[in-house]
Amino acid sequence: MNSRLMFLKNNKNKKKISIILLFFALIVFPFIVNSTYILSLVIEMCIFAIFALSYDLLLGFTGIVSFGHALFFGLGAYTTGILMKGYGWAFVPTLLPVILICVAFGVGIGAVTIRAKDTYFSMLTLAIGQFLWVIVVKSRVITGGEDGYHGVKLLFDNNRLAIYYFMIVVLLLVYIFAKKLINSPTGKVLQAIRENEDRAGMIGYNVLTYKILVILISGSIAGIAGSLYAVTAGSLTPALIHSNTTMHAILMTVIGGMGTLNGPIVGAFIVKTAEHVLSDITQRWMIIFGIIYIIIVLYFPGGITRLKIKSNKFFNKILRNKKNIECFEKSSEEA
Amino acid sequence: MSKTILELKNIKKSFGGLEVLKDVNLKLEQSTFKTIIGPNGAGKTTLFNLISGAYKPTSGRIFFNDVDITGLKPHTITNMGLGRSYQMTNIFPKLTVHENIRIAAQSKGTHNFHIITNYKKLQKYIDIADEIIEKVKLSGKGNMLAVELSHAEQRKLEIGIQLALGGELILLDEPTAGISLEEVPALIDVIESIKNEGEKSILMIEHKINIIMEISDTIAVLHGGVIIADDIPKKIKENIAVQKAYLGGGAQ
Ligand SMILES: Nc1ncnc2c1ncn2[C@@H]1O[C@H](COP(=O)(O)OP(=O)(O)O)[C@@H](O)[C@H]1O
Ligand SMILES: [Mg+2]
Repeated sequence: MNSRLMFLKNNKNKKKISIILLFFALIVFPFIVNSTYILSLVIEMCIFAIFALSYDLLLGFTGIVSFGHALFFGLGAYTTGILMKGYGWAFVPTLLPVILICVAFGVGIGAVTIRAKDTYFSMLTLAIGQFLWVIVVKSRVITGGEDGYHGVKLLFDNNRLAIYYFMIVVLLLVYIFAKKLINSPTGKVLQAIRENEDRAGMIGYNVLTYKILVILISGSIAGIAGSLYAVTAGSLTPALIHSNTTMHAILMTVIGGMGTLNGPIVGAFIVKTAEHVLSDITQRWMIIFGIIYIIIVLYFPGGITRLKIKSNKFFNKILRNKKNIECFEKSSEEA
Repeated sequence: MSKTILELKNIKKSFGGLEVLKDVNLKLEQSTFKTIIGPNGAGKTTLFNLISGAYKPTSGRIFFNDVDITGLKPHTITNMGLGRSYQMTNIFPKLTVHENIRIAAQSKGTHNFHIITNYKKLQKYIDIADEIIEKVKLSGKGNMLAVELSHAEQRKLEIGIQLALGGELILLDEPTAGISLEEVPALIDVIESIKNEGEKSILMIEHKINIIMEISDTIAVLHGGVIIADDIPKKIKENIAVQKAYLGGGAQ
């Protein structure tokens, strides 16, 4: 018993130390790389990590497969962009209408689609997402249509260092919120719905309500990611709403490991890095991703972050006695 | 004076042209144990689907504690205190045994829409789950995933989920179906101990005749879309009509 407690404590210490180290690394990172290009890349990674993280709440924790998630990202981006450039708003106040709009869309989409099961639901979300895309393309006067919407005022006068720190903080806050959500009573219901939707209904949960709730929460987070995109990129194109953008989130979530929260962040960093490296080499980088995606789905369905946990377990098995491993597993199970 | 907890009045159910239940009348007294028997395809599971709200009857009414529950949504009926288990195992496979039961207990509480509170802070539901794990004899398996349990253990878990819902009436659809013979007694133990506590009314569908005879207060026979007999086990055994219909003319 005593050795068990000691080990748990050690494990917690280790976790604390690695978190502190990570923070330190993140703080000094810009001074080590000393490159605006790389900072911009990391900023973009953070935005997509937030987006993918919101997708994981749907896919990994509730078992909802949506092909229309990018519409929230696009709604956030265009709302912030238009309010700032067209109406002279500051950035932060635009987040309120962004969230309100995303909640409204979440409820609307949820109510319309969610009675449809599985594949039909996914197809409907695809249709709605593409419909919004068409609207943005056609609403030339408001959105700039296919030419895009340009000249949104950049955050912190485009001081990349400030934006970098800001993004890290926002990503951290979103992560903490998501973590709290999945360990809350509501989050536990979502996971029960993922495991057995009908049974969750039978034990007294109104599945529809919970699904709409998670759609509007994850939609709002995706909307915030979109807003952040608007004030860091400055230019918006309808492609943001296109199902391709949703595919990016799926790719990041699945490659990183769905249902982990860490997974989509790691996935976003991998996909964005690879995108930049590969797109320099070949136009067909999406094909390479397709292949990686298939390999992961077939052979490592848990994603990359779970792979790491597994190998960790493997080393623990060699290094420690069995009792301690049980302890480790228990503590690592607490997602 | 005993009180009727469940009453079915003139229940009829057709699927397209197929009339499965013609005119079912059934009463269950509070804190008693009734088993429904009948040949395969008689409509026993259909009857459960009607009671739990999964299906709507073509005609007829269902009363639970004198409240008309006909046509109500399953989760509404569950929340009123009527729970059921399934002929096919129906659990949350990749949640732990403890979480399967805890999430059921939580559904009865007022914290379901707390999105920031850590679930571990709500000790009440954790305690209920601990207690029920003991009751359904799954001690020591709380941290296993439900999918890792044996079939019989999954059945116990299902019963545990029902207990966690705190319902007054429990429906059990062939609890011993598909379970190895060695594991049957342990499962019956669990059901019997729940019966002996005397707090629950139980309606069970089951085929294993010797088990039924021992555990049931009353047995109802469903055949040809109607209840052809409903009596204490001894009388049912003697009922020749029943033997013809169900036991195959002197099989017992
Ligand atoms: N959803 C359904 N649609 C059509 N027919 C059904 C449905 N559910 C049950 N039945 C039919 O009703 C009859 C009774 O089935 P069931 O209630 O499962 O019988 P039991 O449980 O007594 O073996 C069967 O002929 C079955 O095919
Ligand atoms: Mg049946």
